[in-house]
Amino acid sequence: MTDINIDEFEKSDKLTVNAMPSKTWYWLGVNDASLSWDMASEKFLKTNEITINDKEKHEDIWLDLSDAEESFNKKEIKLITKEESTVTVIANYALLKNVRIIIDINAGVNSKVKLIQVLTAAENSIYNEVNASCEKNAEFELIQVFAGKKSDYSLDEAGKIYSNVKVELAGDASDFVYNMGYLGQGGNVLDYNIIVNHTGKNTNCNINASGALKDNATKIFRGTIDFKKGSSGSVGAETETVLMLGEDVVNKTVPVILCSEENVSGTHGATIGELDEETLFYFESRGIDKKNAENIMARAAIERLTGITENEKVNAVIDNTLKEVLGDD
Amino acid sequence: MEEKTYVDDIDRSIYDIKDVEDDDFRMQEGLTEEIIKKLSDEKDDPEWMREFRLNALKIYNEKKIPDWGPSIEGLDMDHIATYVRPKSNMENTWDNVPQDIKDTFERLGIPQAERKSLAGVGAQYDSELVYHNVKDEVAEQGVVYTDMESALKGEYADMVKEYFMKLVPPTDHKFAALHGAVWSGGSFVYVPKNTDVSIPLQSYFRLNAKGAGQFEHTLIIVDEGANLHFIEGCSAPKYNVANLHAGCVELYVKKNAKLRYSTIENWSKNMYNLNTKRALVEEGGAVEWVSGSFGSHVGYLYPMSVLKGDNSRMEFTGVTFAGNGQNLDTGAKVVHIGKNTSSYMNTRSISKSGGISTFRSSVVVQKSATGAKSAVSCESLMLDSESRSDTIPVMDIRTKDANIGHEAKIGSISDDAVFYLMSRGMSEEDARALIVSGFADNVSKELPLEYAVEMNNLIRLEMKGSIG
Repeated sequence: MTDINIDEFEKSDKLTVNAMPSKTWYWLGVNDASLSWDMASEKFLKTNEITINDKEKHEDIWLDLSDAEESFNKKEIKLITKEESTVTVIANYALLKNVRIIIDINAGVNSKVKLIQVLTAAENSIYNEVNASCEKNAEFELIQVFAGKKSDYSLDEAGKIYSNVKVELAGDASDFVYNMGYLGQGGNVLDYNIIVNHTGKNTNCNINASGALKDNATKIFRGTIDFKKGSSGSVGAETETVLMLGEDVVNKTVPVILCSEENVSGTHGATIGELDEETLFYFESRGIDKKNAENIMARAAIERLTGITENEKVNAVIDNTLKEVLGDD
Repeated sequence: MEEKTYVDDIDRSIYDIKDVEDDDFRMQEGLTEEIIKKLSDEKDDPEWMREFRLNALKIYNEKKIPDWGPSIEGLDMDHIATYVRPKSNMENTWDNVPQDIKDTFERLGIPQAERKSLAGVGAQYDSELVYHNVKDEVAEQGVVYTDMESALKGEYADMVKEYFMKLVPPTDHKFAALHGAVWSGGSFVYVPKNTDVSIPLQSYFRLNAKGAGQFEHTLIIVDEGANLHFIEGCSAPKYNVANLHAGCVELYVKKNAKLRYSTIENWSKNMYNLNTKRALVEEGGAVEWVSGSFGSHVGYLYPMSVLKGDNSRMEFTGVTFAGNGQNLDTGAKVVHIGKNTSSYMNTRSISKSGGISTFRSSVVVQKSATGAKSAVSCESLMLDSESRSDTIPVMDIRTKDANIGHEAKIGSISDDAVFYLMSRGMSEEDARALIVSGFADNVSKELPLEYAVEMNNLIRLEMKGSIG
């Protein structure tokens, strides 16, 4: 399943993606996103179909795009986790050409799915779509790293990452935890959309995103928590922290809560700004000037995820990614 | 089995009394160039206003109906009379106002409020003002408070022409264009430099006619260093056909001036309330919005503040109550342009009996707005699962030198809060009653006492057992 607008897809070379379920004023430019895509030259890469059987515990399935070509690519991954199974899937998509990734996940009863994605972009566009459906007591944890590298080319060719995550908490007591760290530099565009539909009773979601923007990077975050009728006892929380470090950065944050059920609790919070005076003073008192302090905090926005992955190999990938995009800064 | 706490619907008894319709003139229904020309003739418009209306009609016909908010498919402009003139001239003493109209405003408490606590009152009935008066001592300060038609043609004509629909142009959206074409009534206020109007001015809008629209225009200019509190109220009896309110409020707050604009909106449940309010704030100036939304079938209401001058600020405090048959889409917008500007929004909403309440906001901080600070806090209380409550806030920040925070909560009454109060000796019933009644006090505490009492009377609570 995909959220791409197929009719538009077939007619033009622009994709409309990341649509919000509840629109707002058009002049804000957040209802959806549009990216250039050459449909005619898209190459279909091998589909990965992964099934984890009942009670199986499977660690570290690594996915990559080594068969991707220079132009536009499409990759599909289908993951089914059956009752009481456990799996961690890691996807490292580093500095590739244009690629569209569609991941469909069906998390069975009492299963645990962890998906870790590291997406980096330099002079290319990535569209990443994750669609997950969780049955009773299933737990889905998604960790995403978006790292943009400064482009040596024009603004139009700066790396762009678009991500659309849609999670259906259909089963009672199912759970979704999302942690995301991002770094935008140069003319990077980081545009992501999270939709969590609480349908079952006593479902839980926790969305936690933080990142840093340098130079003239643009970031748009849309997070929708939707408590459908019947989802009583459910809890949803989303927070975003944005560190603005560049003179020409653009940040848009849209934390949405939709609610048709009385007995739920939904909260959201967002904090946007540059390094505060106290933090700067702390660094300076230790001989670290403002520029270096900002670089340290920019790295930290992604490095914090290494404390969550519980996976040394993934942490090594994250460290390498940071070295790649930040150089020796 | 526990009984749920029962929260009454808004008590509308005095608002739903209908006067017999005995109009001096009622425009035919619909919206055509001929109707606009006839309206302009009836109002004896200056030529520029006539052209303005016709141009606005053109824009209206070109613009699309918004698709991002509540449906307004029940609104058919072919069945709305855009101008209804009562059998009354504008008077400056209540004794001269026709008895039935006077009785209506008496029931609503307007003359009493004027005597007790207001510096001036404008009372509009259907499409025209029937009463307008300002206290001598306020007029002697140089404060101008008059009806828009007089201002348009009299000694303030040049000022009105300079400002009229410049802040909210007809191109803004479809119902701003409609307003530009068919506006009638409303008030013009000018407060001279360094003048402190210590007692509020009030306008009250009553729409009695069935299947009609009210399109009053309020234009307020608070000059440098001056201070004003303006209160507006509105109501209409309920009919089984649609009524429309597409008013427009334009506020100019000059350097170091302060304007508080308070509204208690209590339109009937057949009303489509598509109102536009906007303030432009200059250096050091401040605008404070206090907004209680209790009526209407469908409401679109987002007072907007443009913080153009350095060190200008905005505060918005609002409460919305959406009951059975209501879909109220309310919130606020702010644009930070000057340096060191600040904005603060604090809103509450209650949804019950199938009501739909949406909080919608935008905070835009432009690149020039270094040192900007903004905080938005919205809380929504759902009282049953037939209702709906949505929050759709947007922040668009284009300078790193800004400090922006946002928080929102949706849910039912907190068990922790109830436990805390019970641990202090309160019964569970009393604890829940206190929490719910206090939920809306962000607005009531900002209003003059008489209006706070009226607002609290609009939400009458009957507590039985516990909620949830």
